[in-house]
Amino acid sequence: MSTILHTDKLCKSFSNGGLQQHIIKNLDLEIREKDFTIIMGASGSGKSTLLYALSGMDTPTLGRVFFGDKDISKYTNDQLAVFRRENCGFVFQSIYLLENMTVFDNIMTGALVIQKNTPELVKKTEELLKKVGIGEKLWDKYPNQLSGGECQRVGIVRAIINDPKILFADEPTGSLNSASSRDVLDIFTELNSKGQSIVMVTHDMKTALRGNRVIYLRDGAVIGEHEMPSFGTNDIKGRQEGLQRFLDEMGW
Amino acid sequence: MEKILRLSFANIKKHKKQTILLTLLIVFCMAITSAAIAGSIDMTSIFPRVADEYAVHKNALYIKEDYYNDSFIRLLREDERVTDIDHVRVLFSTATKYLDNEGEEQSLYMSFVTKELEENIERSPIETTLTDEEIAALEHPIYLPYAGRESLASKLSEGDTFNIIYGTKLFSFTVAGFYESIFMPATGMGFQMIVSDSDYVSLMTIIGKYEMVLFDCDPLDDCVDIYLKFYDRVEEQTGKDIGYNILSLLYKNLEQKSAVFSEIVIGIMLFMAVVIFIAAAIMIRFRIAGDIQDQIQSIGVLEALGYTSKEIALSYTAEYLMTALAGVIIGAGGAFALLPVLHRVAETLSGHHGSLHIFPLPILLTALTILIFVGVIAHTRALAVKKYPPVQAFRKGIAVHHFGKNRFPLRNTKNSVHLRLALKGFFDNMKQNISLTVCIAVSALAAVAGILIADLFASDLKAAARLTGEEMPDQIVTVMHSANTEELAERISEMQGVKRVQTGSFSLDLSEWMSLYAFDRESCLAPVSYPDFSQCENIQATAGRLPEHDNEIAVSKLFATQHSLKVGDDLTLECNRVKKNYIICGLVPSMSNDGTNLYITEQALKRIMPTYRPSAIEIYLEDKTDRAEFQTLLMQTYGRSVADTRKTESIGDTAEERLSAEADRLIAEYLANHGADHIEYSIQIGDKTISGSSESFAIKSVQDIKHVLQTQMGGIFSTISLTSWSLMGIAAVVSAIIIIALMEQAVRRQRKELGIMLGLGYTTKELMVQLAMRIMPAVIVAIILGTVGAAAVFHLVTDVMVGTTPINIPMMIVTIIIMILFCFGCAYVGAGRIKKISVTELMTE
Ligand SMILES: Nc1ncnc2c1ncn2[C@@H]1O[C@H](COP(=O)(O)OP(=O)(O)O)[C@@H](O)[C@H]1O
Ligand SMILES: [Mg+2]
Repeated sequence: MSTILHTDKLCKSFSNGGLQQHIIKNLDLEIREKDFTIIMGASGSGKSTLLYALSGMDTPTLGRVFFGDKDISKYTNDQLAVFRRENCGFVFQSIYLLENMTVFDNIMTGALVIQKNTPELVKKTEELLKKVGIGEKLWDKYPNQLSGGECQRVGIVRAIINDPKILFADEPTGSLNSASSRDVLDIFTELNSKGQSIVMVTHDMKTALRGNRVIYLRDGAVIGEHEMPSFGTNDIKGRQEGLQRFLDEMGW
Repeated sequence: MEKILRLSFANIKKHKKQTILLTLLIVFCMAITSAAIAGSIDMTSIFPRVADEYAVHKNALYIKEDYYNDSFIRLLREDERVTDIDHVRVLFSTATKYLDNEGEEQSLYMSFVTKELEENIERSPIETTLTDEEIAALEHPIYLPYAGRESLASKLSEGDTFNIIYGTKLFSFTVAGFYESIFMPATGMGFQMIVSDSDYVSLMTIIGKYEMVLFDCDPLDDCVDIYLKFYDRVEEQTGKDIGYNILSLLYKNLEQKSAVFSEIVIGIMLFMAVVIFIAAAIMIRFRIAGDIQDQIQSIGVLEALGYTSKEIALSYTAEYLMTALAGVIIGAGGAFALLPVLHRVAETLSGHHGSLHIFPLPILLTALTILIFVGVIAHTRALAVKKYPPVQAFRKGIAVHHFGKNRFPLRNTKNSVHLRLALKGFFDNMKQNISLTVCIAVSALAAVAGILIADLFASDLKAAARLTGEEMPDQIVTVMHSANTEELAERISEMQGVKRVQTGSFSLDLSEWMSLYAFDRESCLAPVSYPDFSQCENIQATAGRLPEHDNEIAVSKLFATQHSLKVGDDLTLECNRVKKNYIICGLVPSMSNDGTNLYITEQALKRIMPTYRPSAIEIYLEDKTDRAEFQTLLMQTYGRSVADTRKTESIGDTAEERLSAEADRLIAEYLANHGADHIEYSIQIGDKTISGSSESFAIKSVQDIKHVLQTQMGGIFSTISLTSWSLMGIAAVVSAIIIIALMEQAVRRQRKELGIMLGLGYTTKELMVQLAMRIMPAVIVAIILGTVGAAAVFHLVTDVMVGTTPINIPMMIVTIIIMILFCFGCAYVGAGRIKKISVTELMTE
């Protein structure tokens, strides 16, 4: 499988009240196409920071990020925005739907920015919404009239509506109850099985089990990596024990 | 109280830029309003103060020498309200001109007095930089009113040459100093000048003599009434209409006149202040509403901590009161800086010099009014806090509910998603849109009014010419009473370079002016008469048509409005106690002479004024004709005068030349002083015959009416262009501030949405355009409303004054487009705040 994304001595630091805080330190990482990559680590270890640097949401302080063979680390903010809409999809823990728009318009907002064929888009949106289990009667509702799980499913449709090369997710189930979580994760698994590359941040082991590659982060550096067969394969117990062992090693 | 103030300060700190913008608006508003009010008191009091200090008598009448009779003094004295009377002989002419720096002739009414005479009129000290010896050494010293130094086309100073022209004769004076002239202080009113005794005598031979009657009365306010009584009694006694034989310069009228420009300036300033205040009020309302929305959660926290909603509301009120206080204090400083400027402007415009009096009370009252207004507006808005008890405030902060109709669903997007999102945004902010519309509409109204006024008076004299309702020939010749106007016109028309000539009544020489009464002698009209109005180019009827028959007249639109007259109405005219009826056949847009021009054919005028003869010849020259050369030739041929005959150097050596010169001198003398009409001579010396006639004395004066207009209207032009520019400037500044403030606030309020959109891959530029587009429907509606409003007001005003004035439609469209682009630019700049939003900052929150 080919590499879709890789970093070269990636550093990210923030200045907090004049104090320079190095969150990501000289990180070298490769993300492979069609993988379901999981980034794990303790809270505050820099997972989100890494995800945003990888996805062009933010620019690295030092080092480079390559998308294919394009160096996106020197892009301007507007170039990054164009890069994002053409290549990336995002799912957030806090979902971040546009409160002042209906479910349907939330998705269209993300889609219309690059796709111009409205009728085709409407059809695609309807199909996707139905697929994630958002019935027609919810389409013209506003986000605050939906449950958290429903909202996140809308969020996922919004993230994949442009057929992104990579789908990024930052603890997508972090604010959902377990039933909703399962539904949402099933969607991710389904997407991955169809060949969607996914990079997901989580600090929940059950969630991590959905991936086929786990990267462990501590204090802004990758301290370990664990590969396992895809979620669809039957040896659930073996996968689970393997991951558990890895995490124990990492000091989880 | 302390904790309330602490909250207010925290808020101010948080919105530094918005606070600065608001302070700026209040500074403008305060400075302009208080300067306008305090300034108007100061400016209108300049003339009374100057008159109190320097005028020997407060009222003056200029009475033409041949009309004057000593019994007039007695008539005036019979009024018991008249406390003191004096009279002096002065020289006065409306046909005088002076040469400016470029050597161009400029028209100016002038009156001449000697030092001795002046002491009976004013006791103002003379300001000069010259020493007594230097002045004594001057051959032709002249003292001018202050305006000579300040508002003449060529600003003069001591020692400069001042060339006065009358006909073709030039008198060179040297400026010896300046002084305060009560009665003739400004270019618009004329200059009273002090000359030496010998110069006075030589000017007397050509410039008209007037008896200047000076009087005081008690009460002073009755001066106009006293004059009107006197006027009636004089006419009764002489049996002849006064017309333009008496020129009145009465205290009340002078006071009004000296303040008229100041009033225009003040009016404009107050209008601007109102526009600014509306903008400030709207800004305050929206900022508070926005702040409350923004901070609903922190308000909940504060309430949970035990702050009452009243205290929180008060903290908002206090915040704006503090901002307003800062603005008012800085603004007061601005007012103090503006006042001397306004005072100078008033001095320059009125020609009177008085010390600056600053009246603190209006400044204080303005400050208080602004503070009260701001307090009330802020407080009524801030009370909205009460609507949110803590729990609700918390919840509201978490979920802003959106119900209602989903306008412009994206599934129907046809063209640009950005446009569609902007439209959605527009409909989500209807309340804000209404205020924005009001604000921009008022600004647009101001700007467009400015442009319309500027256009009306643009391209030098186009508008002025149209508004005069008078013909604009290249030259107007005033013919001597002794000459035959038609014959002379015939001969002038045969001169080289003349396109056509027309005889008429219209002269720029006041002593030639005639008058007719209407409405039982309540109104005085100035006949503008031609044999045939179809020849006229500039005089046009906006209603009905120009007079053709001897029972028809046309009046000015202004006069018709004032007296509710319309086409078809009857008007009775009166002249020397004879009354005749005429039908009004048309209305002419004319503003000159306060709309008292009366259009009447020669034939019709003779019905009521049997002795009427046209006294003016209007000359239209070919384009290639040199104007100055032609005028010189014309004057040499037909415009000789008494003064010419005195010039010894022009007298030749031969006996014949000396004889003919002496003959000319005699003719001039007879024409000027003995009322002769026509003189011919022929002298035989040996076999030679020298002959001549009074024909070469046929022209009294020649004037270029365009020059006259330029000089007379100069003050108005500059006031008008000042008006237009300030209107446009203030409109631009106010709309820019409001739009930028609104956009910044919109960005702050929608930080989260905008952050999400950035995350979805919308570029900052796209979002800036989107946000700017969001207010454009309101802006466009406002600009169109403002433009239509301004056009309507303009139409109404000009309709009353001069008749329908066409509005330049293409220019209006260009203006609208420019204003829309300007507003869009401001909005785009204001939306630039988006650049400060970091996507990740939002996401990792
Ligand atoms: N914009 C920022 N400014 C300053 N510090 C930040 C910023 N974003 C993240 N951090 C800091 O970086 C560290 C890592 O944060 P984050 O990547 O969100 O951790 P994780 O997602 O692993 O919990 C935290 O200590 C956080 O305070
Ligand atoms: Mg995180």
